[in-house]
Amino acid sequence: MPGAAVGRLSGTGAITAGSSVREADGDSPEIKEEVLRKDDRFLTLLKDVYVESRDPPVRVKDGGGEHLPIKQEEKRLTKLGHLEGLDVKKVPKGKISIVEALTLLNNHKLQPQIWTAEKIAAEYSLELKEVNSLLEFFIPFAVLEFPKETKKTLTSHKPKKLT
Amino acid sequence: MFIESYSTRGFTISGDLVVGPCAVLPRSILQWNVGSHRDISLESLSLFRLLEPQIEILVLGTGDRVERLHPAMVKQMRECGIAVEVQDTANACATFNFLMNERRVVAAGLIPPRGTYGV
Repeated sequence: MPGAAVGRLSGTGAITAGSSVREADGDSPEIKEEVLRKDDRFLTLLKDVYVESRDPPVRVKDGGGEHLPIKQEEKRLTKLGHLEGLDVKKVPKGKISIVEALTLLNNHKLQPQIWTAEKIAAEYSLELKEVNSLLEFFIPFAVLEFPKETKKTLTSHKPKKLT
Repeated sequence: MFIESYSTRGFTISGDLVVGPCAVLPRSILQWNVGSHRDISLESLSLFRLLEPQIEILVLGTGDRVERLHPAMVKQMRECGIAVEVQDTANACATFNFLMNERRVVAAGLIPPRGTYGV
């Protein structure tokens, strides 16, 4: 019997159906007794009672999902162009972009006779004094490739790890 | 770009082993030609001041201990719009990583600690 709910009562009878309730006088001792009395006949009849629901099943409302966050589109990182905001197109005179700084320091390191402080100052609109400071204190690293074993001995003094 | 470790020789930064004092800039590392905190001056901080986009915070790691830098120099850096944070190198590395993680425009000048542990 799909959709049918079978109601079944048991226990001590609070069933008074069919008894003669004369008045709504719940306080009279007979009624109290009547109410508390277990009536086996009614209990037997109740076993045959069932409740059938014929209402159409309640639909779960659509559109409730509107408030749920939309699943984020999966994205991947591009291979190039990670400088983002650092990759500027214009700089105030007297300033340099990071890419320019790395370029001029590297140029000077590779060809110091060509890329003199004076030439760099003129090329990048910098003060000569600043360029001299740059060239004195900031030097591009020489990149060395170590074979794995050498790298191991280099780091064998146990550098302090940051977590 | 994060500092993974430091030692008396240098640093491991984003997988690269770097020997000696270094200047960590957004997306790049340079050798920083200073011997000790005594060489930290407006001149040796020139690059940090000249960069565009502007560095917001410069973290300086002065070695084993935090060292007092010339107040006039720190003031001048601040006038250029750069907050200067001076710490011992161990803390400077951690601070740099933290600020980096917060997506601040941060740079660092780090001098390896001399330390007492095994070289």
